[in-house]
Amino acid sequence: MYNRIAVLRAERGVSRQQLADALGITYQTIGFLERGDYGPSLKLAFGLSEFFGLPIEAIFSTRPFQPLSEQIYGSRNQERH
Amino acid sequence: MRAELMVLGRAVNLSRQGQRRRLVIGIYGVLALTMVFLGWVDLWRPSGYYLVFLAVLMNHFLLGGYGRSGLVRPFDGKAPRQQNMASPLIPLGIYLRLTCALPEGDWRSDERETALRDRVHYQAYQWISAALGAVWLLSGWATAKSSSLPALRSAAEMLLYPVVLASVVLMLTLPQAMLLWNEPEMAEFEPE
Repeated sequence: MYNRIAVLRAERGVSRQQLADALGITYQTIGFLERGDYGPSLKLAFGLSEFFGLPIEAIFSTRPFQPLSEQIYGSRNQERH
Repeated sequence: MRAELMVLGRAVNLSRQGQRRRLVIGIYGVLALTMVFLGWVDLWRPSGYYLVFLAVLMNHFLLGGYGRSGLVRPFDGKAPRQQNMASPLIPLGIYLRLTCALPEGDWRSDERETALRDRVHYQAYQWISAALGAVWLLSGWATAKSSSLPALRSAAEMLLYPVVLASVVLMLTLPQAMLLWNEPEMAEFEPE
């Protein structure tokens, strides 16, 4: 399972502890999630989705994510051409 | 699981898996040496109780799982007593403040830790049950063969008590030790 938690957290300037406190888990579990060492429960996945205000599929994927910059600028380049 | 262990009021960082594994080896080394020593003293009767007491101390100060101190958060998920009390395990009224006041919620295991707790208990008790079953079968075999090999029966009788004693010690400590052993590296994680 792949996820974008580290990117989203850095983007919003949220520490592991702050995210962990908001979700009622430990900051180590956030670290293990980010590293892909732990697959979250559905409840925790929905909690993360609510926290970041994004759909679950924007945070988790079974396939590796394309870098966000590539997704944004890649689609713009395609529009230009 | 906590990344830091409070020892005499000081936080010792154990976020590296290697450090935690060395701690587990050290704990079982001390327990094994104590068991050998107590066997040499009086064949564990009645000194075997001291080994169980030592395992309880190891849980209280290092491994955790059954109280507010130690690396593993309480297994039962119940909030510990809030006031800082002198440990009842320290004799002669010596007050060692081995635990700090826990932040709210630090005693509670989250979903990942609860799942790990259940898994290691299952694995640990499976091993212990298998070992006890093997001892039971061996003692039955030794009894059956006692007429032809009387030394075998006396050896089986002598070994039964230390095996049960070792099983009690393992039941008290093995799940927490397995948690410490298996928890992945978390040195790179900073709370802030």
